[in-house]
Amino acid sequence: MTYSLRMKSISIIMFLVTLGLLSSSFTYTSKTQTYETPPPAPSCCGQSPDKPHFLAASYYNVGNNLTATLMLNNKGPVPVEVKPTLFSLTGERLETAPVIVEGESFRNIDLRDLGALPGTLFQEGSLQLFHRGPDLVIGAQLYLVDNQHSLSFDEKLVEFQGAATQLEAVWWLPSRRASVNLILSNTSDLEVTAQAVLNAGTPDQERVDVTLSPHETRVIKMQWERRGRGPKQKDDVGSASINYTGEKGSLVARALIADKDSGYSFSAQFYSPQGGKSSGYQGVGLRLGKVRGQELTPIVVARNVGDVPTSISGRLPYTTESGSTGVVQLPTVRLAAGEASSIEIERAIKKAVRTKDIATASLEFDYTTAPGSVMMTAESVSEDGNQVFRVPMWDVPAQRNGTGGYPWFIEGDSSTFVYIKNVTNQEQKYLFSLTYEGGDYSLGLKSIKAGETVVLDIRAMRDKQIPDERGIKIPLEAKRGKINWSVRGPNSLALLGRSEQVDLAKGMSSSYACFMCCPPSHQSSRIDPLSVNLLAGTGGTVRGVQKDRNCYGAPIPEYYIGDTWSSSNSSVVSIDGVGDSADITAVGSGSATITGSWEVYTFTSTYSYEYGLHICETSSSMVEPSRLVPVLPRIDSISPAYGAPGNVVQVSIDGAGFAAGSTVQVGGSGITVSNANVVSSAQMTANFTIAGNASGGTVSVTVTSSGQTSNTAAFSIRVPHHLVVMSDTANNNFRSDCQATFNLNSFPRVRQITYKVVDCAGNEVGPVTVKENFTNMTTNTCNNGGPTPNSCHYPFSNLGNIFTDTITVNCNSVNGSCGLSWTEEWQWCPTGGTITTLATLAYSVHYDVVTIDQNTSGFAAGTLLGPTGCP
Amino acid sequence: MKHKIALLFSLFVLVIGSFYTFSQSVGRDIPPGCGVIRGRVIDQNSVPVSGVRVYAMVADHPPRATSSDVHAITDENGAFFLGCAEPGRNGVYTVKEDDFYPDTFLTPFVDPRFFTAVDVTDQQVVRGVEVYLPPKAGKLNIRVRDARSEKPIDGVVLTICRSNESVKLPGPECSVLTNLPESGFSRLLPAMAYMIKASAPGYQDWYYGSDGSKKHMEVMQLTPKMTKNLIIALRQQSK
Repeated sequence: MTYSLRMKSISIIMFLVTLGLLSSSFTYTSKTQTYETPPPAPSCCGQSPDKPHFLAASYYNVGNNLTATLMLNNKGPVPVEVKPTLFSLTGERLETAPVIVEGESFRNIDLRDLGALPGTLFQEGSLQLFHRGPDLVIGAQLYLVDNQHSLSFDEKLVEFQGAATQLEAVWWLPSRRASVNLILSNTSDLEVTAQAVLNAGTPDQERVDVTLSPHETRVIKMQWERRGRGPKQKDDVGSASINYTGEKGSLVARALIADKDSGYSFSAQFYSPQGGKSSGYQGVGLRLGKVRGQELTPIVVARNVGDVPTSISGRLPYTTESGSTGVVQLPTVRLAAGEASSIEIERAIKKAVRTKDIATASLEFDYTTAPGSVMMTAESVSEDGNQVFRVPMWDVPAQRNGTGGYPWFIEGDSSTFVYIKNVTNQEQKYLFSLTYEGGDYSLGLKSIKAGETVVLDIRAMRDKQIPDERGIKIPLEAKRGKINWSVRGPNSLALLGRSEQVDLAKGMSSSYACFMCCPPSHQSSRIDPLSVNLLAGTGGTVRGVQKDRNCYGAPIPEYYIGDTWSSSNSSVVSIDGVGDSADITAVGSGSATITGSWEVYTFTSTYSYEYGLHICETSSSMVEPSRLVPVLPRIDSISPAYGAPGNVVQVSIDGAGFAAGSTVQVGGSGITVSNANVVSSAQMTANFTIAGNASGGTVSVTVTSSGQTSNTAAFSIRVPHHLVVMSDTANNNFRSDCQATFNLNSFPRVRQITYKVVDCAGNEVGPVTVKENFTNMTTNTCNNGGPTPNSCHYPFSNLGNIFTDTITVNCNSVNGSCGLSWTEEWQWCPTGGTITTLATLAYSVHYDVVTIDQNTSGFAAGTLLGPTGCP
Repeated sequence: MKHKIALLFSLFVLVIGSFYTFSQSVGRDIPPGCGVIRGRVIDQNSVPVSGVRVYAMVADHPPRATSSDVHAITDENGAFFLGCAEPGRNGVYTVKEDDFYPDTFLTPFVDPRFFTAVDVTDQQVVRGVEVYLPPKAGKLNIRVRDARSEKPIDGVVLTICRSNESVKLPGPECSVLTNLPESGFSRLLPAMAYMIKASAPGYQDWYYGSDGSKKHMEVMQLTPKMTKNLIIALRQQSK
């Protein structure tokens, strides 16, 4: 396949969707005959594959019952070398051995394996990673887990390039017992001075000034209870504001909130208000209802970090188990400058809908002040506080794109869930697939309604053996692999999603959102099935198939797609379909080209200096893959479907697609076709002349019409071999007209035996010529002469291979037991062939009894006379 | 009375038998070993009958094997054409079972007045042959079973005789059918009175009558177009 592109027009369209989403689109059309986009350029997504990347985690700790696990997620197709560096609390550096992460895979690394050992300098500190490659090719997340107290803190490693030197965070405080550790970590090689203002949700504030040496990490414990200013039981909010000196991004911060008694744990993220792109947030996948018998309480907290009062309004779009959708309007909250508060949403939700009916839900909030002036956090917490499901609140335009590349694993009771939310007010489409050892699983192209959130439970998909669009099921023994999903369409930011790893038994969950550099781009398209040969009058289904590659060049599973369909000759092939499949009907013999047409997209990641973020440029074009569909004439039956050598058999061929001028062909030797005649499009006749010396067996018959040759039908050449008795009157009849014809008081016996000529297997042979040969004939003691043998001819009965032998000595004046006997040979006498004896019988024909091969009582129907078995 | 019937029959035979020879002529394209018979079939009211199967069978010497295969079906005028009758004296026979006309060649007790004889010469045509259909017959269906098990019995011999009450005609008085097939006996028989006997090895003889015994044997009257179904239950002989 070749690739050619004729750009007719280029337009740059800035997509500003309702929430102010930003992306750009280049649209062109092409009339290409082939549909394969060239392999990815060495610089994927417009970036060098050797681009250096530094990622940082603010805090690790392997003491105090904690384990620290680093997950490295390579979304690209080639292995990536990652160099971790551990820093102690005081900034000492420990360079560890590089870690290779194979393409399209992930690794979980215990930091103790890297040298972070309890009781040493590197028991506690911060972590940095270095690797080369395209943007976002490596996703990394650090998990701190205290199994004893059911605590789990996750931190996604980010490139430390902040939007400003101001960091803000807000969090919910579950109880008076909760501890809050504020983590401040210097990612730079220079000293950083920070001023932190800590707030317990009351007018009281605590100011902390710290100076951090290069790579130093400071853990500031906020003991609210001890200071006697503990928050109220249910709705107190904590927050922190940090301003620091030095380069943007040289300080990373995190707040770890924990309640060891209940198992509550939460890792609060910090953001720079200056990085805000819109005055809104969306949270994808809010859990409601019950888990393990405990009611979940949805919690949202907000903080106004601006200088003027703000008003926050929210909605909760949801989808019920039955598939219906709805939106719950959440109460509007006004916050004064600097004020933080929780937003009571549970009451509003329960008033509008039964939470047990909700399958998926999400959060949408807008505020009235400048982008970035409000910080928000959301989560669902069980009654006992042990189950905590964090919902990242995203400023949508500040996100990279609608893609996700996550690991999935099923260990013990844990499972991976994926939430995907349509953040626009129009229906969108997405692709979802996952890999497992030895295969992949693809849901194909799916639709998602405006505002809708879908949740995909990988364990359920595996355990329930839900087939994908190709019928493939996730093997029950599969336990880990990679997930890929992406928006499909021109708006690369129409969807957002994340994964959630949940272990309900252990009361732990973590959220992971990892973008690709861009949505996948079109690589090739075609029509399935690859080979379409239709018999006239039949039909089939064709589907459009597209193959994409992700922005790192790795292929993603093919999926079905399409839009419009057409046929070059509807009198040969008619086509009816819209979307990814079309029904085709073979109308008449010949060939026609069917064509599918749909739009495909190519994405390129570029950095927009105007907007200060990476955007995905979209190019769209139309592809029109086509396929030649030959329509073959169809033979349903031939009648008769057999004949004996030496005969001319007029056959009727019934089927479809017999156009004028159609011809009939017979394979092998022994049969000559003549007088082929098209009676109608559904019937032909022809004469098959079977040579007298033709061998027995089956030959194939085909019809050629409009240049296409039909399916084959079988015609058997059957060689007469022996006789079978069909009926025998025995000696039960007598001739009673001798007196009328001769004035003889005579009643000779009359025996009539009806024979059928068959081949060696007992099959019908069709019309055949037969004759008699008499030998050893005795003198007729009835004195009325002897019989005349039958000459060679077709049976007069018009039954082809069936004839009746009437045997009697006939009227005579002797009567009594007079008669004669002879040896009777029934013979097949084909035109142009060799005379063959079918049966040799001893006839004894007397006035009062007719005996054939010593039988007087009559042969039973089906009795075989003559040779047995096939040669 | 018997004498009168015999006299009438003799006169009839003389009349019918005088038609041994019809007009004959040399036919074209008649193969050797064949003669042609042309004629028509009429009923007792001399009305031509269509749809009658007509065939010829040589009578004066053992027939050629497939003689009975040579047949014709009468047209709307009752006309027929037999293309290859075996040379010699032939009987011409008719059958139209769906209209209760029996096969005059194979059916026992057919009135000989309805036999037609024709002399056929090799490669010659006989024209003007008129064949009378016999009176319509009745149909007799007989199945024989074991009285206790109701299963078919092997080796059944069925004897059907004309009763003394029937018109005395030439020919055998009885028709004996051996090895009756499991499907039984089903045949058109001339409408007259019959006596029926069924026997089988190991079974008591059965006679048509009130209780199957010879003592209470009765005559069975078969009328034209009548269908008589008999299921005969044979009792095993006591040991």
